[in-house]
Amino acid sequence: MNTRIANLRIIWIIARKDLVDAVKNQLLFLSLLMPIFLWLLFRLVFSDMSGMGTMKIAVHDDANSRLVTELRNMPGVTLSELETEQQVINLVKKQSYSGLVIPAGFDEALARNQNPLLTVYINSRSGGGGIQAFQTLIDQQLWKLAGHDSLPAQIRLVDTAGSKSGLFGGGINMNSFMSVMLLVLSIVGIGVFVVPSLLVEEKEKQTLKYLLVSPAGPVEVVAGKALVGLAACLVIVGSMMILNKSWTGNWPVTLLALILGSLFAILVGLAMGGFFKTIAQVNTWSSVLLIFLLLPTWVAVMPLPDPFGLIVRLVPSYYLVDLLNQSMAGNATFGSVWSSLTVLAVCTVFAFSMVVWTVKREDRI
Amino acid sequence: MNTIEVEGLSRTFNGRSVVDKLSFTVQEGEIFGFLGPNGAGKTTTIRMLTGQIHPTSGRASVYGFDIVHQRQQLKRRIGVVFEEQNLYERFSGRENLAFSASLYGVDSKRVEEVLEQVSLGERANDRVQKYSNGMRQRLVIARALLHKPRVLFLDEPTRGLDPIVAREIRLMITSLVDQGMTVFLTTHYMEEAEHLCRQVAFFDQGRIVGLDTPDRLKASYGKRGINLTLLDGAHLYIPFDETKNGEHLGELAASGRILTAHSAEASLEDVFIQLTGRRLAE
Repeated sequence: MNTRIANLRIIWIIARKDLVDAVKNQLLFLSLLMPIFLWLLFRLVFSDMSGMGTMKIAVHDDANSRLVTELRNMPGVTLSELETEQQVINLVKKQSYSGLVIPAGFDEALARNQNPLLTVYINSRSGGGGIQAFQTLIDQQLWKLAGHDSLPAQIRLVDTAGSKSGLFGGGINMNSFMSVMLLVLSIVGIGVFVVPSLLVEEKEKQTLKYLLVSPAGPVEVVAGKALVGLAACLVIVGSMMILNKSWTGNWPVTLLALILGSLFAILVGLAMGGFFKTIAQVNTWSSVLLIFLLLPTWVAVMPLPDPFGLIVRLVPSYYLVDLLNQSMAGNATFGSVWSSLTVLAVCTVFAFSMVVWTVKREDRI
Repeated sequence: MNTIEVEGLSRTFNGRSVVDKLSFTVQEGEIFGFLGPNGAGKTTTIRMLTGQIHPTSGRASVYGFDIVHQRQQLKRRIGVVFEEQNLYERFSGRENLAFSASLYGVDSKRVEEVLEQVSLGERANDRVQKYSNGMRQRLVIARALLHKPRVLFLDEPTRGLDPIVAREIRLMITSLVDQGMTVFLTTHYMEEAEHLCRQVAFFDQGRIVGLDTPDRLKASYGKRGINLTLLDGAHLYIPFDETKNGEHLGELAASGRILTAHSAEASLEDVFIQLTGRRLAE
């Protein structure tokens, strides 16, 4: 690698050229927008999650809680207030209701940050979209009541259909799962597909030769590509977070996780770009790597027995998923996230050293 | 003044010698032809002289800048036309040049100047994908000229072009040299080298096997004489080195028996074959 300081002006010129080229390259442009299309598709399929349609909720409230008052005033929510918990269970079992049991002293415990228990009844046979919309609604209302971003209550999720595990019965919030999955897909997709494509296309079309006899050196070329990858990551991921109203929970941890995860994925992409010679090679290996790095997102809905569960922990994106799951649920504390942050940071440093090595190979003189 | 100075320049790849102890000089304002078959090491030599790779040993400077230690200064004084038409295909001609202009910090007015210089003004906004081979080559040359380099490296600039476009490119090269530019040219085409170059180097298996002006090379390795075809179909060779042969030629001419007469001097191709034992295209 050149020892001279990378020329920031040239890095920006190369990045600007690549941004314009990415817009002109339909395949690349579509692949950049793919996570947003997937997100829109997801919203379309589970359209009732966006508040469209009626949500039927059976409530047994011993606390005269403000949560019920809020729900009562919400448009699109039909509230059935029942005398006993058993009545709630019966209604959820028989009809397309979701149920809520609020214990006495709930609001006071909430105000004292005592993390009170809230029992949520669902019926997984009644369809996933309604359940997820219900869970999201309850999360949002609890945050609103508590006035801060960490989830203030313990939620006990009970599936009246008897399912103990799986997508809708095991306490997994589909909205959170899809948000995390699409965020990781965006980051990893841009990292292992878009970024190496930018670099390898320069090799394949021989334009890299031109760049290297121009005032640009290998460091500027690689940094320019990294800048494009980072910009793409921030725009796509940021847009998805805003569209999905995901800046909730411990959002600074979410932000840190997204930045670290993006850096890691981009550096992996740059190392791939340094190593591969053709777009065909990139496409082949990107797909393999994409599946590999997306594996940890599925662990949330398909818990794996050991040793597979342990093996998934060897995948760096596992720690990104863990951070996002914790931070977006509002459960993240320094004590719970420091190990994942450290692992992700170490992986990023390792990926950076791989990039340095590949740049040296490219510039082997 | 010597624009390019090369002394004992060598390069090995994985222990295999590709360029072996090259030494030559190129004067300012001359076209230096570098002729050799595929795989002879021409492109490796250009890559070293343009600062893309370092030599294993030896030294060279271009316009006074050391190719190893002053690469950044060197890059701003040279223009390179690669063997491949390595352009950004999704960009227009103008966008390609605008990108290069920003890399070199050149004013955008210069983009319009070079577009006119290579007669691409009218098609400047078309995507390069739509350009013909000749237009692409002119754009590659325009890009190399954008920052007004003092030395131009041309790697097979007319390869694969139709004769009319190839002629245009040669005229362009001549006009650049008339303006004081130094040109380092690699080519397969002997006629091109013969017509354009003041000096040519024959290059084979990493070594220079012959270096001189085209005329001197042809004179050194060719025959001084004339080949005649007579009206009766007979062929005759008359060397110039004996006085009586002049009289004989005069007699034949006077008798009106000569159908055609050709100089028997060697072509550069002949010289190359004599020096290396093989043809340039092999």
